[in-house]
Amino acid sequence: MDQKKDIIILTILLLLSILFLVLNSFDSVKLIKNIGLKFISPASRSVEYPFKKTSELYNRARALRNLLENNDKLTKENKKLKKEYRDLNFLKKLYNELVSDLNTEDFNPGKLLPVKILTHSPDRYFSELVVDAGSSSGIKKDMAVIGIKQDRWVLQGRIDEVLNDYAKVRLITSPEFKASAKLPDGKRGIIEGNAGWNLTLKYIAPNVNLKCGDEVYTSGTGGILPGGLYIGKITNIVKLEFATGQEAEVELFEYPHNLGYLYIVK
Amino acid sequence: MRIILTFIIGFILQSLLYRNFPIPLNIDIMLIITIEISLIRDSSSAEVFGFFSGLVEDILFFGMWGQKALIRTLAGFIGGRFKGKFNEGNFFFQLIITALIYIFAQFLGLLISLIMSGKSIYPPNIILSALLNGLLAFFVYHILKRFNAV
Repeated sequence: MDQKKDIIILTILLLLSILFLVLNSFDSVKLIKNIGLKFISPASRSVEYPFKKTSELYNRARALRNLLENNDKLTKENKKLKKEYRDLNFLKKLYNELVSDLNTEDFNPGKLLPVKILTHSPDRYFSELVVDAGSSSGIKKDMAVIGIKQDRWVLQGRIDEVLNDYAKVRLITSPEFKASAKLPDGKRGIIEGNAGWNLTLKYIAPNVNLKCGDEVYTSGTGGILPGGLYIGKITNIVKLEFATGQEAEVELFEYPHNLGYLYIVK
Repeated sequence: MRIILTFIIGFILQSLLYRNFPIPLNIDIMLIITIEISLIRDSSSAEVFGFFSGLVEDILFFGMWGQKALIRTLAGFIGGRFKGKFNEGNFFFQLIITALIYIFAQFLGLLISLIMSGKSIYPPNIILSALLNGLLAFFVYHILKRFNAV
């Protein structure tokens, strides 16, 4: 009996379903559908509204949580970066100090031989002089000749010619004297004599910021003259045309002629 | 009365899942409830429930009138054939029976669309959707049973 009832209900419902399906193909039903949709849509939306809002609220809460997590993460990263920045600044400062120390590294005199100036030839006053020591004292060509003033070792020239008991010194003021020099920031150039009281610092790159008063030292490049020997101060800067570089006039810290004794670096 | 409440809750859940389900799988809550009614009560109740739930869904979700009504009526009828023959609360029974009816419903839906409009859209991930529905059916069965909702 139940099964019969079941079959009857099924048949009725299936027929109704088929009827609805068939109704779909009529234009008038389509019109009814459209009109119905106009009423049903807001109803459907209003049913969905609280759930949609709840869902939105949940999503916002999740986004807020993510935002807070991201904020925490960023705060930590910011702290880390600040620390790294401080460390970097400290290292930078340390590096600059080290570079500065390196560039102003004091000349280590090592073994020096004091010599007395014997002669100054008036016609080669800025070019050379003779000292009272020669090969018998272990002096060799190209050895550095230095002087001392106010506890600073100053470059005066190099040995140019050696005899048994005498040696000729090529003075720093001689046009034939050339040596590699460096500035306090480590930039390099070539110092040349001018047969006058002042020297010229040449071949300075155009981007080097030269200032009057900058101290000039020997760089030690080439291995003939030791590095760190004081030469003098920049007194004038000449920018060369066409950005080919710049030159500077250097006032020698002390002139060889003013010193009673010179020292030869062995 | 209880069955009407189940209908309303099921319908609300269904409408929410329609638009907000995050993965490309289809969950048919009303079909699951129809099957569970056929297993817990009898097939005629399930057929009536399936018919009206399908019809309301067709109208409210702008579908083809009668399509879901017909499918769910048949689903209720088929579900009722298994009543009392197996342990209905068993997980695997629920999984298999719901998955099979789901697949049947999908193909029937395709067929009706094809006949009525000449075009049909193949539902995505039909097997995975069937398994997901089967999985949910187990819980829906126990919830309905626990609250004596149908």
